[in-house]
Amino acid sequence: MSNGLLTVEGLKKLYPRGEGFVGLDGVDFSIARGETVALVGESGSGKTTCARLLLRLVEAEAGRVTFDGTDWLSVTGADLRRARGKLQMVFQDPLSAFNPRATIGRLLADPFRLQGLGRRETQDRVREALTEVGLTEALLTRLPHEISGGQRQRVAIARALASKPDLLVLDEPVSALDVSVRAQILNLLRRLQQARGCSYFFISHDLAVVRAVADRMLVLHQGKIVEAGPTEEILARPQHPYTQSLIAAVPRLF
Amino acid sequence: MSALVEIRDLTIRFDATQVVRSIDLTLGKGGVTALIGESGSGKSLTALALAGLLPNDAVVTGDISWPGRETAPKPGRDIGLIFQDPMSSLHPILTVGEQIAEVLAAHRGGRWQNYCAEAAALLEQVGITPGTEALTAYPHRFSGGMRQRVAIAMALAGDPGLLIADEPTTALDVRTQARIVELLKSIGQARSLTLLLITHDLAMAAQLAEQVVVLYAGQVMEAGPLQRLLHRPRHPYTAGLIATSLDLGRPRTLTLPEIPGGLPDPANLPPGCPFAPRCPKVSTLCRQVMPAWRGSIGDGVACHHAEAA
Amino acid sequence: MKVGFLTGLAAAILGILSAAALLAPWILPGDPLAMVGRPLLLPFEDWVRPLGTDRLGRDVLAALVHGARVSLSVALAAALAATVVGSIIGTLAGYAGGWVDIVLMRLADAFRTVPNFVLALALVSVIGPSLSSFVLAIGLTAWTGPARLVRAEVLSLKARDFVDACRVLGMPGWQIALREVLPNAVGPAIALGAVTVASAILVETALSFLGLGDPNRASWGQMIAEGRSVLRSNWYLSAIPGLAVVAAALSVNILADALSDWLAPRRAEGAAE
Repeated sequence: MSNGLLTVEGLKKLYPRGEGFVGLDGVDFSIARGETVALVGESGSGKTTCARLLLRLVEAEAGRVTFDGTDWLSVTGADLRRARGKLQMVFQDPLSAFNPRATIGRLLADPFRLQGLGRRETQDRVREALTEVGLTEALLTRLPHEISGGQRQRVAIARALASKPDLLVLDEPVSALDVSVRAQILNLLRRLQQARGCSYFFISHDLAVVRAVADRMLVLHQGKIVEAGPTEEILARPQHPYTQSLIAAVPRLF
Repeated sequence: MSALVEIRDLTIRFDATQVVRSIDLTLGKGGVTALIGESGSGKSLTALALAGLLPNDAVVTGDISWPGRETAPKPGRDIGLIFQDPMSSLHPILTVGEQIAEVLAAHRGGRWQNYCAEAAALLEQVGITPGTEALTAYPHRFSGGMRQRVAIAMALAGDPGLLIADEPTTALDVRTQARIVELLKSIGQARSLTLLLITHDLAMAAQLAEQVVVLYAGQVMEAGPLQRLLHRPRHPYTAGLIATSLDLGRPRTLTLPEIPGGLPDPANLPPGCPFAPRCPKVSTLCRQVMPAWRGSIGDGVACHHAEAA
Repeated sequence: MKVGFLTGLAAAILGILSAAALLAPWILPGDPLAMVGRPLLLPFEDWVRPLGTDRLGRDVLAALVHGARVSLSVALAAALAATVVGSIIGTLAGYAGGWVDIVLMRLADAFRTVPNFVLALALVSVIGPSLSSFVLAIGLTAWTGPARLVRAEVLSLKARDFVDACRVLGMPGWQIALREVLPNAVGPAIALGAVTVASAILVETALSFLGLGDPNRASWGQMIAEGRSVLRSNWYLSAIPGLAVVAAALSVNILADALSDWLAPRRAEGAAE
């Protein structure tokens, strides 16, 4: 438990939909330092709600989150803004996650500026960030829609890692990318994790992607975690019927 | 197998940019062909050209012939189309029943109200039961998978000979994907439809397709029977796509095989083979000379380094 | 950018009027309200006074050109003020939500229910005629349009991922609202602002016509009013400035259409490859 970076207990947030509810219906899990944990779920399972709760974009109805020793859900106001640097997010659609009128340079400078860095230092850090994710300075003056999907996602990763977070939440980070580019981004993410020692909370509906990146996985169904454990273990011997049906449905090449 | 449609030397240009460059394609009657490609490969445009639905500013050359037909096929009647996002292909303010019945009425004459029973029957054929109840529902009440089924029903309403499905399952959850793939398979067989599947997802295509055509930057890189391409790919791009496909059926590797670089900008293609900047087997020849097609239409490869079949 | 014939014509007309307005003190120096010649000179009779003179012998062309300064500058200033103030209020209301939104929007409703012209009339009568009172009066009635448009855009932008991304980075709310959201939300307000210029021209003309304008400055409305007494014989004294008003307002409207067309596809740019 002391190695635990994040511990979630009974986290709950429901939204009425039709005659029932969607959202998160009380989940428990933990993430250790340096670990990659995957959250697997279909649409409507509550996975996006989970991400938004962790990122404090929406307030929980119930539950407790312990992040880096603090009671995360009760941090508010200016304290929250200061603490946010430790928990960052990469959104699913890199196009909608950027201000369409902001240049890449400005997008990358934002997190450093918010940390209070001066102009020259910000520029230095922006250049470092570009190199770290494998991009060139030529991109600095471009707008988000002028670069490719893979490049956009690299920018999103660089932006999220600028504050040196301990935990990075990634919401379907490669789903919107071309197939021949996905592996590049996943390899980049692993290299960055090895260099920085941060943890990843990787949300995906794609079990093949999950297997490639995650040490442990959580299966989310209708707001509850129905199965959890080491990735290879669950994929080889799924216990819960939902997990079994998910695995059976994945198309295979061979 | 007799040919339903033959496409020869199709090129599509927008202003000064050529987005499809000389595609040859034959669809056999009753067969399932997958057009595999990523962004900018020209796969969707090729399908639109086939259906006669390209935008007005597209400049098209080449020949699309339909042996065995006297008149050109009508999109919607002789060619059914299914797109990626069912929410945007369904009218949000009309009931599902009305939309399907309108398609029937448009092709057969009369008022749509006369076709309600048939619309209900179509809905049941795509797995929405009871069909009569679904008639009065609006699209927003349905899940993504159900909406795609409705879209398929609408595509089938004109009793087409050819069904073109452009990324039909990309926006769906994995279990729904599997069900839609099953549906397409069973409908294709029941109605002896010719199916053209357009997708970037090799694994999904592998569930349905018999023939595969691989597109890159508006050109055909390789084509042939699915199983042969999967096990003995001759083009480095095909091999790369297979290698980078994360597949549960294969053992996990720590570093994932990747294809370096990014997709080319169609307005700025280098001379020679478009895949050269990213190809592991590239040579000087590749950068200068466009490889010629080796093989027959629908079965061959365009690569200087491909071994003879 | 393809420019239609009508748009080009409108731009040309507005260009001429604006140039005339800007260069007035140089091309036709002196006081436009000075009596310079024989009264009721017909247009084209004397080439020194190409458009003739009015009842009091004042040069019609000089008054027209100087009047353009008043009309266009008041209209532009008023529309600018209304758009800027309205956009900021709309952004605050849309982004903050809650009671801020309710209060600001009820305030907008209050201003909206009073007819533009009546409010302008009342304000000018109370404050006294001057260019700044005009700008204030017209601005006060026109800010609600941009405010509501911008608020609507902000409400839809607020739900977009990039706003969440900024929140996650720890960006303070006011910075997100003004630096990230506002620039993306003003498109429709700018298009409306252009239309506001046109209606401001008309309001200013009407106020001057009623004699509420600055008596020391030539203005189109005043010219039209003055021409009434000799309408039967010298109808052109009212018609010429009237035509100028129509030309100006119409040109602005046409250009506003073109502007909104130009802005609209750019906002959708970047959607789906």
